[in-house]
Parts: sequence; C-alpha cells; structure tokens
Amino acid sequence: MIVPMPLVDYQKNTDEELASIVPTDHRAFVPLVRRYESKLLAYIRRISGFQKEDAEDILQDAFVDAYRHIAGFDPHLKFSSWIYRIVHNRTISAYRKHKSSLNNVSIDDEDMGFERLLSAKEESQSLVESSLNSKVIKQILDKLPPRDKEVLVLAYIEEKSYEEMSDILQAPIGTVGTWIRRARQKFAKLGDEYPNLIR
Amino acid sequence: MSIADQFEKKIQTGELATPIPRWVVILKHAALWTAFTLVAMFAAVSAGVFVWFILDPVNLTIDAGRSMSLDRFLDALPLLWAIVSFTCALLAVWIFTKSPRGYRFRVAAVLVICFFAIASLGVAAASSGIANRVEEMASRFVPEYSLMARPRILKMMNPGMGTIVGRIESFGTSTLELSDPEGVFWTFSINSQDVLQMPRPMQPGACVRIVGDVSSTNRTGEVEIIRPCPRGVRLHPPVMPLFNR
Repeated sequence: MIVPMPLVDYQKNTDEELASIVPTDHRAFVPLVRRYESKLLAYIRRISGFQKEDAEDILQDAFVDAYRHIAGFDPHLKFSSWIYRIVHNRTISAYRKHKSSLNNVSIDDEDMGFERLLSAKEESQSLVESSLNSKVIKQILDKLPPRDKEVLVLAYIEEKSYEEMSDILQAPIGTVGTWIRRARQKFAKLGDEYPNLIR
Repeated sequence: MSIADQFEKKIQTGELATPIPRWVVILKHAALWTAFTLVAMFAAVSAGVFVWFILDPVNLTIDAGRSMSLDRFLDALPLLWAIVSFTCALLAVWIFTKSPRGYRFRVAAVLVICFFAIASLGVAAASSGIANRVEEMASRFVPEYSLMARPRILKMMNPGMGTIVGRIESFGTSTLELSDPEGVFWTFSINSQDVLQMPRPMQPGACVRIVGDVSSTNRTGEVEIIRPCPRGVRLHPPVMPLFNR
C-alpha cells in the first residue's frame, strides 16, 4: 500500500534550493519534475520530431538520470540549464538511433516561438498571425542540420540566453554565438525558397 | 498520470534507485583533478628533460661544427622525451575539457596556456637538476632506455671519422685505455696534457669521447680532443647488452 507523502510546501523554494535538498529529501524532486515536465516535453519534440509517447519515454529516462546524479548538480549553474543539458543529450542520442524514422519537427501550431524565429530572420519585429508561417518554419527547421535546429530552437523558441545555451550544449559562449549566426544565415537562405512565408 | 505523479509514486514505493551520494561525486572530481595535475607535471618534467638534452654544453662543443641542429633534435632520446611531453600535454588538455566547467573555455586557448605553462615548468625542471635525476632514474630502472640511446652511441662511435666513445679503463700521463661499447680495448697516446683538461675530473669508469688520429686495425690512436660523454650516453655501461647480442 502506498503511503501518501506528507504535504510539504516546496513552492517557495527555488529550483537550485530543491536540487540541493534532494539527496536528503527525495520528495523534493517531484516539484522539480512538475515545473519542467511540459517545457521539456515540448523541447524534446521540437528538436527531434518524436511522437509524444517516445518523447515521454526520453523525458522519463532523463529525469531518472537527473535524480540519480542530482548530487553532481553544479550549484554554479542554473538548474534549468542542467536539466536541459541532460534532456538534450538523451534526446540527441535517441535521435541518432532513430534518425531514419523521423520526418519533421513536431510543434504546436500556436507556438509563439516561430514568430520570434521569423522576426530574427528578418531583423524586424513583425509578428505573423497565420498558421501558414508556422508550418513553413517547421519545414525549414526540418531541412536544417541538427545542430542548427537545436540552437535556433533554444535561442528563439526556448528563449535561452547565450550563457544558458553554453551550459546546455557544453560549448564556449563564443562558439554558441557563431553557431547561432550560421544557423540564422542558413535559415534565412532556406526561407527565400518559400514565397508564401509572410515577413 | 503525469510523469511527476509517476515519480512521486516511484519515490514512495522505493522503486527508484537512490541518488548517488555526494561523496562519490567529490571523489570523482578529485580523481579527475589529480589525474590532470599528474599528467601536466609529467609533461613538464618530460619537457624539462628534452630541454636539458638540447642545452647540453658538452654536446655542443664537439658536435656543433660537424652536425646540423636538426641532427641533435632527431637523436632518439631527446625526441622520445619531446613526444612524451607533447602527448602528456594533449592528455592534460583533454582531461581539462572533461572537467565540470571545462567546456566554457575554447580548446585552442586551453592548449596555448597549457603549452606555455608546461614549457615554463620544463625549463625550471631542466635548470633545477630535476631533469638530470629523471634521466638517471630512467637509465637505472628502464632497461629499454639503453636501446633508445643506441643511435646516439653509434653516431659517436665512428673510427673512420676519428671519433671513439667508451669508458676509461686506465690512464697515465702519456697513455689512455678505453673500452668501447662492444667491449673492445683501445689504447691512445697523449702528447699534450692540455687534452686532459676536462670539465669533470677524469677517472676510471668515466664515459669519454675522443677525437684523434685513430687506427681501427691496431685499436690505437693519438688523442687530439677528449671530452666527457654527452647527456643520454654517459650513464650507459661500456659493454652494452645490445652490442653483445
């Protein structure tokens, strides 16, 4: 019989505080999972194109990894960067195994990240309301190499800073900047092939 | 059921393995930094031995006029230490990049800093006498080290060019007896006491190089110049196992 957990209010604790108490209080990991579950699930699907069930499996494995190695969490990092890194690495290795079975980027149509990506492409602030844009951007992202897709998703859809991206992708900040610049150039070049893309 | 709910249930039922303890993580980090320090130190000491070989003043006095600088670099022993140093330096850089926040630094920058640090420590090791002791230990405890000295010895043992290398068996005011690397005795006559003014006191068992008028048939000659053996040769026995095979 499962004994219900006593109610402990973790709401006031930051992610980093919760991570630091997990080794002694295992239950503190549950609110962390709650806080990141949906965001990370969407992130996995964005960079890999996995179906929801597969993405959930990856996320579950990533959370088990994070839970097992929580003592290795570097308090100098943001917890979000650390958990994103674990999820990212898990997703990439799963992606490499199942690359042939994937076809496109899976994202909700109403995802505002696409508009941010588009405005970054044109260096303008024009927001696009048409779902046509989202579909086209999905197609463009899908044509990009995995590294370019990852950095664009992290920068414009997940809205991560360069420093956070450096911690997630485990690369120097300068290198991340170079990757983003190149990815944007490739994205813009591919975008020119789509006359229906509203700018 | 959400993933969070599944986790909550698993934690309650004890289905999840407990997190790895903090001390294991600390131990791993300590092992990594210890490995980095050891490898970097070994790279520095190896660089020191390499520098020590290249800066050998005895080597320069006789060979400088007749051999190119490149020859000295291509001697097996200095090259061995240079390769060991370079490999260890690369290993140190690799370990650094695997450290918890090593990825934040550009590999090129880490490489340059590491190489400068190792070269500086190497020069310090060469000038402080550490390199000398390392070479002595290598000669004593690593039998294969003698094999690495062979190309150097062969280059110096060239009766046709009037150069002989060997250990002093006996010497007087006008004669000098040597045993060469093959154990063959050579008798030299000394016409001037000036040739005996060596940097180190001459004594039986000391390794010396001789340049002079040499007869391979009679194993005799007349000494023109006599100098101590250079680094990398002086510690090896006069009758080397390699030459006796």
